[in-house]
Formats: sequence, C-alpha cells, structure tokens
Amino acid sequence: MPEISDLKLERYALGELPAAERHAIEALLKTDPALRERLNALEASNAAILRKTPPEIFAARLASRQRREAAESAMRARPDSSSALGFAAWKPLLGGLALLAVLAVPVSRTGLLGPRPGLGVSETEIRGVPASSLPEPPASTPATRGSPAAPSAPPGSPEPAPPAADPSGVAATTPAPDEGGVRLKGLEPHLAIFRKTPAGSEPLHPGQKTRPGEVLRIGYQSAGFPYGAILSVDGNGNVTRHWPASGERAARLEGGEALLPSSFELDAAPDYERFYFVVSKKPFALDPLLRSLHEHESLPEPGKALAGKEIRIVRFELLKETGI
Amino acid sequence: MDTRNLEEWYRRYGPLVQRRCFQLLRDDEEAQDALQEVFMQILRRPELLEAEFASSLLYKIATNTCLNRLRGRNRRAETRDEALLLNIASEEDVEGRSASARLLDRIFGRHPESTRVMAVLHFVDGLTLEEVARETSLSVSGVRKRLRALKQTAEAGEAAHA
Repeated sequence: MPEISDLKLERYALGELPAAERHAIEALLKTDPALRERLNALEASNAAILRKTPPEIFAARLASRQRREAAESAMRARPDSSSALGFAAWKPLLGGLALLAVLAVPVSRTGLLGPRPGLGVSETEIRGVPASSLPEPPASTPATRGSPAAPSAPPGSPEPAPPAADPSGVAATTPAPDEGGVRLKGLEPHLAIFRKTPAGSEPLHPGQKTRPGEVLRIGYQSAGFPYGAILSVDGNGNVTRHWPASGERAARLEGGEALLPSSFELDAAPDYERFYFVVSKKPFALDPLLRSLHEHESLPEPGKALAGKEIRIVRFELLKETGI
Repeated sequence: MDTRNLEEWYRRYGPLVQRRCFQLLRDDEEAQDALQEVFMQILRRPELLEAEFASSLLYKIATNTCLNRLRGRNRRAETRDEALLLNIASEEDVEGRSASARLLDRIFGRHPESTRVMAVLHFVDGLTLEEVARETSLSVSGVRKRLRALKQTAEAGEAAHA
C-alpha cells in the first residue's frame, strides 16, 4: 500500500483532491487506522493553530508587518529636503541651505541625504556639499536598465572600487571609506533615487509611481559600512546590477554619501522595480544575492535572516505604470 | 485582498502553511514568521489563490520560503532528514543561475518548478516521482532528470569541500 504523503492528506482534508484520489483515500481510511489517526491529528492541529493565532489576530499582525516594513523602508530611503544628490533642479532650492551650512556650520553632521529621523547624530563628521558642486546626471545618455554604464573594477581586483569620482560629483566630496569598518553610530544606510524632470530632477519615495522611459539615478548613504551592492528586480523577474556593475564581490563603498556615476532608463517591465542596497562590514560574494533575486524576486527581510552577520539590507520599491 | 478575505484564507490555509514551515524549520517562532512571509507574497498576488488547488500552491510557496531561510542557516543538522534538507537548501537550482523566470509563475505551472522544491517533495516528503511530476506539471522523466542533475551538483559540491 503506497504511503499517503502529507501534502495529499492536507489536500484531502481541504477537499482539494480530484475525485478519484479522494475516493481512494476514503476507502483507505476505512481500513487503515494509522491513516485515520494521521487525519485526526491533522484536524486537531488545525484547531490548535487557529486557537493559538485566531484569524483576526493573524490579519492584524500581517497588517502591522506591512505598515512596519513600509515605514522602515520610508525611513531608510526618504531623502529630506536637502537631499540634492545630483540633479540640477535642486540647486536653486538648496543653494541657500548649502551656503548657510557652509558659512555657519563648516562641518555638517548630516550630509547630503540627511539624518534619519529619530536616529540621532553621527559620531563621525560628514562634510556638507555646497549645492554648486552637485553633479549633473548624464541624462542625455542614460544607460539601459539592466546595464548601467558604470565603471567596473579592473581585472583581478579583489573587489570593485567605489563609484568613480565625478568631476563635479559627490564622490569627491565625501570622506574616505571607513577602513576599520566602524559604523557611524546613529546613522543608517539608505538609498536615494532621483527622477529626471523637464526642469531638472526630483527625489522619489518608496511606493511612488514611475513610468517606462523615465530616467533615474541612484545615490546611497553607506553609514560607514565599507562594502555594499545595489541590485534591483523588476516585475518580470529581471535582475539588474546597479553597483558594482561587474565582478563577483561587493563594491568598496564611499564612507558616507555617493551618487552612482550613471543614470538609467526604466524599461516596460510591469508592476514594480524593487531596489536593494546590501551593505556589510566585510567583503561578500554577490552570487547568493543574485540567486535569491532570480528565484524569489526578493531578499530576506531587512535585518532578519542576516542578523548577527553585520549585514544590512535596505529595500526601496517603486511602482510601475505601464499603461496596460 | 481585504481583511475578511485574508482571514478566510488564513482560516482555510494558515494551518497547512504553518505546519509545513514548522516541519522544515523546526522552530516555532521562525515558522510563524515564515507563515507571515508566505501570506505577504499572497497579498501581493491575491489572484494566485484563485487557482483550482491553492493548497498545493501554498505548500510549494511555503517550501520555497523555508528553503530560502534554511540556506542562510549556519548550524549543524541534528538528523539525517535535516542534513538532507540543509543540503538541498544550499544547492542552487540546476536550471541555472541566470534563470529569471518568476517564482510564482513557476509555481503556478507556467514554468518549470524549482528543482529544490521538487527535491524536498521527493527526498524529504517521500512523494513518488509520479506525484512530484503531477505537482510540478513536468513529466516523470523530466523530474528524474532534474533531480539527478541536482544530486550530481550536490555530490560535486561535497567532493569539493571534502
């Protein structure tokens, strides 16, 4: 007599077996006390699980988890009003602020992407950047999404270098990587994503709607984590490496804020574009991350599965309007 | 999916998913978390539960979710089954690293099922090749071929680490 698998028994209990298989199990149940016992145990387990976590409690927990994840994502990723990485439209707005910062507080403690609300002040100073030094995105020649035109590590390099210093760029104004891998207390790594507009650019927030053809540029705050990677997966399951563009290991990050050296154009993939910024104190291989994205279109929950390994995962999801 | 629907789906399928997650993870708290993760995936694609046999779909989503978690675990297996499970979890699917097919579409039957899930169904859960083939919309020979390839990569990996 063939062993009835747990899956088959589960499906029988739920009434989801095809008629022939259902009848076969019903016949077996009359003659096989062990199978009857398994079914009874399954039904008792159902009741115990629902008693322990009733549906309304589960639904509330799930709603809470959704809110928490959305809030965490927004906290990590939302650029504040001084988040002017890269695009010209923010120069007029920031000019005054930056000038004030330069004149009144020669060394800003917040940096371009700003402090995260409620997270305190960094112990390590990060220089503010005058608005006039903000780089222009190469919007006239954006890379196709999936192959951002970023510099790659030289052959044989153990890990990719930080984003190349843009002649007018942020990279040149940010501090050197924290060689000891000492994190900046109170500062969290996060992403900032900007969209090109006719007038210049605008920062995007998690959950914001975007369209195919729009040109985006990514910036990050490493918060002192020396190694990292920026990847994304779209609604078709296609995975894109934004940084580093090549190599098998995570890139060496700028010690504070940096703007990736190229912009890219969104393609027509539907539903969403989900970005991940993974940082670590130690070098790490990209392959497991890429595999996870290929297989699951996601990475482990931020701060959960990789806890204790000094790895942080930041997620930033944009929605896509494809007109379908 | 509104709250009432969610509660109904959980009432119907939550225990199945919870049991499956606990069976693979052997940790009640982590199983609870994995259960939520599975339903979060469903919230993003509620139409998946319109499938004729949603239990089968959820079972496989739960399996995949747990394998993903097991892959990140750094501990020694206590039983032979657990060792087998951890081995499967640590393997990459033999369909290749560059595969970009969507997981849920694969599970939904439009694309080949994850070989790792097939391996768990066969080697750990004891489903016959015919049953695995039915669950994954593949031919028996297709399942056999994929499992053989996974076994070979696993053995090659073990030899490399020996």
